[in-house]
Amino acid sequence: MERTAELEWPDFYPENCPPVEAEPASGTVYRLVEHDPPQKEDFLSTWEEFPGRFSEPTTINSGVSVCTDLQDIDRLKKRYGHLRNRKTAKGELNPQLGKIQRSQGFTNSHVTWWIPVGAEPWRFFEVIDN
Amino acid sequence: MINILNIKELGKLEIVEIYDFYDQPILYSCRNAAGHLFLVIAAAEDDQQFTWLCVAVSVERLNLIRIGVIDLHDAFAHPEVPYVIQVKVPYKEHYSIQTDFLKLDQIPKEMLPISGEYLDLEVDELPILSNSEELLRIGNGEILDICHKGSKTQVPIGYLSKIFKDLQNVINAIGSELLQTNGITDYIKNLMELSLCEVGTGSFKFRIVPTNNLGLFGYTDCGNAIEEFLRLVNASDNQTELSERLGRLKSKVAEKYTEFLKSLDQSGTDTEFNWTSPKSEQTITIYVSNSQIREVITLLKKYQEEAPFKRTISGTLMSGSLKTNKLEINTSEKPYRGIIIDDKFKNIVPITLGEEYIAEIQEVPVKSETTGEITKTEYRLLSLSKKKQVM
Repeated sequence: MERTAELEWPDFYPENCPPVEAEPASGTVYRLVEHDPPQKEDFLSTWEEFPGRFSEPTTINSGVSVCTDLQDIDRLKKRYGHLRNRKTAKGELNPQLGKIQRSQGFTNSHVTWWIPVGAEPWRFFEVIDN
Repeated sequence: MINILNIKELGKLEIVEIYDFYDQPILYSCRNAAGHLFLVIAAAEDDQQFTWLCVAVSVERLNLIRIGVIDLHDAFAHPEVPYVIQVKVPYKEHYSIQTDFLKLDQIPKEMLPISGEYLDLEVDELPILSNSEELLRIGNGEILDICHKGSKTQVPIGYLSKIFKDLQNVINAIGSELLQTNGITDYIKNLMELSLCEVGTGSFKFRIVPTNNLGLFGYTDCGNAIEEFLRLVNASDNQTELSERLGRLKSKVAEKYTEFLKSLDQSGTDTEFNWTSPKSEQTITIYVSNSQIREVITLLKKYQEEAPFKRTISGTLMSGSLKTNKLEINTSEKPYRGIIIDDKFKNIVPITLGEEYIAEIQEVPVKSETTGEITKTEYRLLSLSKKKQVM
């Protein structure tokens, strides 16, 4: 098994975040972004983006959402007005980019992704919309 | 902290189920302390705020949405209530949440899901609502049971259809008056629609509920109309109160109420009304005997003859003749022909055919000279004014 360097997590992450069940990041994922090419702002967690909305950071609001199935991304754009004009970016994750955990209870291929300090995920994604 | 789950107009909300998550819950159901359910969807965002659409939903409809019978577009574009709540949550903490009640035609299309998007949950029912107490608390809160006392176990369907139609008409008329609309519009018909949800045997009983069965504050406009209707029924043994109530109501209500009572009279039995509503903590029971119904019908006839009803109509002036002293005004409901013009209105010139007018008219029952029965109704003009044009 490939050994990865110890990852450093942002200071605002709560204890036990990412959860112990989370796995090293890997595989093809899709994320809805505002910029082409994707930029740092496209990979902010909800806590970083809207800190006033929450009383404290949690495991969930410290991560960012990606989907492993492109159809789920299309469905999100059809369903939700705030996502409709976003661009679809495709990326290949690797263990240096953090940890991921497939969500329980949702009907789609949603995955929560925790991004470590120093990672530059936008460099690993490209917009694939025509 | 600004919290979408703490909106003063809705009360403190707790999430029931999350259906979609993308960086945050973006489609979820929640309920307030009173047990009212809402479906909430992320709708828009800009530099200043995040916008959500929130719609009141019954547990039955929410289950239909969850299992993919109703699509997400229709869940918000055609809800059970005639409005959706737009909640704008500012990013900056010192700004407050802005809540707007949007009529359905005011919802920006770009905020709605595209048609044809369905949830597909495998669990058939909301898991937290499976016990009967919860269902009772959150389900149809307003229930009207009408029970014919006696030994009948079956009734002719012709009778049933007439009584349902007449009940709906009287509720429409009361609703129109309570909400002060100009006639019984489609809006009133939608708000006041009643549904039959259960039929009992033994003493023949039917259970009726407002179709739009979830009001924001635990009762509906239709429920308010039913309560006003029951006050009339309750006054059946008190002629003074009945006269006072009728005096406050427009003629349309009395007319429709009379028709309903005539239908009820055909059952030939006593009738019991049971009303359950979140507003009244216990079921209200009103018992009215068949003889009382007949007395009230007689009183209503007498009342109509002695104190002709006034009504305000709005419509197009179709014809007018100062020679014959008559006007004809077409309203959306029906044409009013042969409106009698008193001499005092002869100075109202010019009247323009084809223009919209508002007229106050008084019903004048015309009796047969031979039988003394009322054979038709004419109208006397009390006031006439041109309808202001809405720009």
